[in-house]
Amino acid sequence: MKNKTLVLTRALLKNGGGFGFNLKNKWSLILLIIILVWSVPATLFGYVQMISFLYEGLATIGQEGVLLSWGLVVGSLMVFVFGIFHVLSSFYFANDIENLLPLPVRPRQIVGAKFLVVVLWEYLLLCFSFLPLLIYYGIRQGSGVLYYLYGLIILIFMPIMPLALGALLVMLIMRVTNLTRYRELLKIIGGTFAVLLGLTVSFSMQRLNQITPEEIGELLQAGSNSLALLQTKLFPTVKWAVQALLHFEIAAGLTNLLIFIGLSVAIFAALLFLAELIYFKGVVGISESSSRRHVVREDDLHRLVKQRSALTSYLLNEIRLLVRTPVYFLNCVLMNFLWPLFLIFSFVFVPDEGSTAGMLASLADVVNDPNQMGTVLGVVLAVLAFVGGSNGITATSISREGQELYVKHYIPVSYSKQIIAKLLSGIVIGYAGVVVMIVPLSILLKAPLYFVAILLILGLLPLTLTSMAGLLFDLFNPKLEWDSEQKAVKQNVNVFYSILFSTVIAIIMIAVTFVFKLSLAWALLVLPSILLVICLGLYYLLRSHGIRRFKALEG
Amino acid sequence: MITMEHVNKTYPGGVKAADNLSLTVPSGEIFGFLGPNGAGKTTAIKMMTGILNPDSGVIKINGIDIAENPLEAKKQIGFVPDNPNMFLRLKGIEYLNFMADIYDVPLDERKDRISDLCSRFEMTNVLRDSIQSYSHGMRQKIIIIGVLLHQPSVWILDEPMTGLDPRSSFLLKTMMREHVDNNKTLFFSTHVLDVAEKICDRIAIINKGKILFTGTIDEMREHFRRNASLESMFLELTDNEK
Repeated sequence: MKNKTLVLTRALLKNGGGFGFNLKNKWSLILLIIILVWSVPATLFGYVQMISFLYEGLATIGQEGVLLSWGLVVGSLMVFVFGIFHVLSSFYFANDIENLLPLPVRPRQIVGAKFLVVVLWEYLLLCFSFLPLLIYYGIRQGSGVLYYLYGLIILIFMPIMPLALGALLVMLIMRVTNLTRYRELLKIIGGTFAVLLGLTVSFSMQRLNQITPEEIGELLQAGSNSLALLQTKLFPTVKWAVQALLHFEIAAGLTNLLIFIGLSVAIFAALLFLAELIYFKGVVGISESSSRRHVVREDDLHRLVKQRSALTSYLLNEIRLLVRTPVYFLNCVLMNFLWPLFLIFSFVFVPDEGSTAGMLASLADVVNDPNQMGTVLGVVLAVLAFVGGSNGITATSISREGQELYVKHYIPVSYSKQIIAKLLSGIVIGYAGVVVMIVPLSILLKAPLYFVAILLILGLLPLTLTSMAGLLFDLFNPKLEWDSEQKAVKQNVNVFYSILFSTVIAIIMIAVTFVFKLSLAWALLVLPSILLVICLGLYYLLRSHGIRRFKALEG
Repeated sequence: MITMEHVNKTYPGGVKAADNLSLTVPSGEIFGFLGPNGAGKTTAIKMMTGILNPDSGVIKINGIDIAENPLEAKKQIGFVPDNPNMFLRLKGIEYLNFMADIYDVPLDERKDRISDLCSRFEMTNVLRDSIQSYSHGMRQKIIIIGVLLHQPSVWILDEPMTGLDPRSSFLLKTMMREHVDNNKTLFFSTHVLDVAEKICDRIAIINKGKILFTGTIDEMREHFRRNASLESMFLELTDNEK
């Protein structure tokens, strides 16, 4: 008899409709090529530059191994945080669960299969983050085949521990929130809570494992990569992986590798065990929606009936869908507000309080120094471009229509108006994130009011730009065939395109600012002009090709 | 009035879903569009409503060419799709406000119509609940109410009776009759001969993208008796009753 978990995994993968690549479609292929040519060389070049810079610096003190542990720690933290999103979306909010529940399979088999699908996604993430680092280190060290073999095995097992830990956390929270009848709401609250808790856990691990200067001194004297292990305090599970890679030539390397594999398997087993106990209790009935059936009297009705313009009504409808659908809320809306939290958390949770205050003070000096404001403006615009591009609101706005796209064809609203409403939904929600990010940081750093005003006004530009780019990607390569909302936003390559595109915009902003050492006056002239020119180009594409494409799309 | 002249549509896979379709749906009559599953009914309806673009041919709604003047043509239409599972995340009242905004219904008129239609379909007390919590029939009813808010002169209904309880089904039939009695246009599709027999003044039969017959129910019976090649399809249509 075949293993049911594997059978289920295959079925889930096949039913996922892939990642949204459709290479038989002319536009899909053209888009892929444009994106690759536009972004891969720039981002890869930038990344390798950064890695080699770090490597050189560390090598002078005989600590280049820190690079590996840093890569493993950051990679694991990423898997842990993004994994929480993935697990929530796929274990709890996916519509396919209703089809799986009546099947004669055990909870652990469903969880196992869904877990494996998510793991495959995490490999994509790691291939872009950890793999280049692993290879770079190997080349610089002139390591043999065994190093790469160990590296490959570690890459394969690397996502399991952080992801399983994230999944355990989510399962416990969802078990509790599934107790009451207000499930839709609690689903959103529970999801948000899980993400916040995950962030707090990962940040407080940094703080709990403070490293004293004495410790560092001792380790430095010990030489040869002794610092590498210290790093792993930040995410303890990678300790054995680091050891295995550093000492692959001796028996200790193999022992550590085996421990790492063994632990990964053990945590996975623990997850399956827990799944058997609580998964069904957390998931059964999760798609039920409550209704109150209140009596609506004539005067109530007159109060409830409102009139708005078609554009406002359409926009409101888009926003309601984004906020009310748990998967959309988590991936498109919450993401916007997490970046600011990320930034603020990383200031608040640096290793010790003294350096937090010091860091804040020096940042406040920078923000208040008119000579440096040009640079600050460039960095802020770059960050906003990145945040705007990674929320995926417009990059999935056509895909989210799915099989209901035909409705947008028969209503008497012009395609250009519909496109504007979809753009606005991205800009409005994105801008709320910008305000949440800029206002507290400005207060924290005591930035001058006029400068905050400049940032808030110009902040609209990168957001408009990335929203337009995202919408164009989705118009030319929409993923309309899906049976579960999470497939429209989580397994959609357009979000990935949008992130790559906006990363390049961010790199342009930073490069121009630093290469020409722009003063505030010049920065005010040059940076918005660049963004505006790109915006106009994208607007032209939307007006000409975008509208035609929307009209031709058949749901 | 709806007119289709020499309309053709071939899907990318090579399936010809509309083969030189010509059809006139006059006002003042309930016009049924009959055919087995996959005959091309939905494709024809999608082209009439602007969802699909025909490869060639002209479609006019009340004399307005839908390809040349799509927004004006679409405003004439009230379209009820065959699948009511849409706008599920909205509350009933939000969906109705949305539809009224999209079709520019003035505030006073929409208040009266929402109040009137909701009480006729017994939907008033669920207006503040999300459509997701509705049963299939309730979803069907809220969609119908939304479509009728702008008092369209042309109704196009795709399999409207599916899932309705007998009472609502009867109400809808009554409303359909009232609509044509005001000399307006009503076009609806069904694959069930029985429904067509009971309420249609005139029918068209489509199969494999071609119109095989247009006329009254009595004319249809006569036609089937004389034309043996159509008999099997007639049987298929009657079979669907069971």
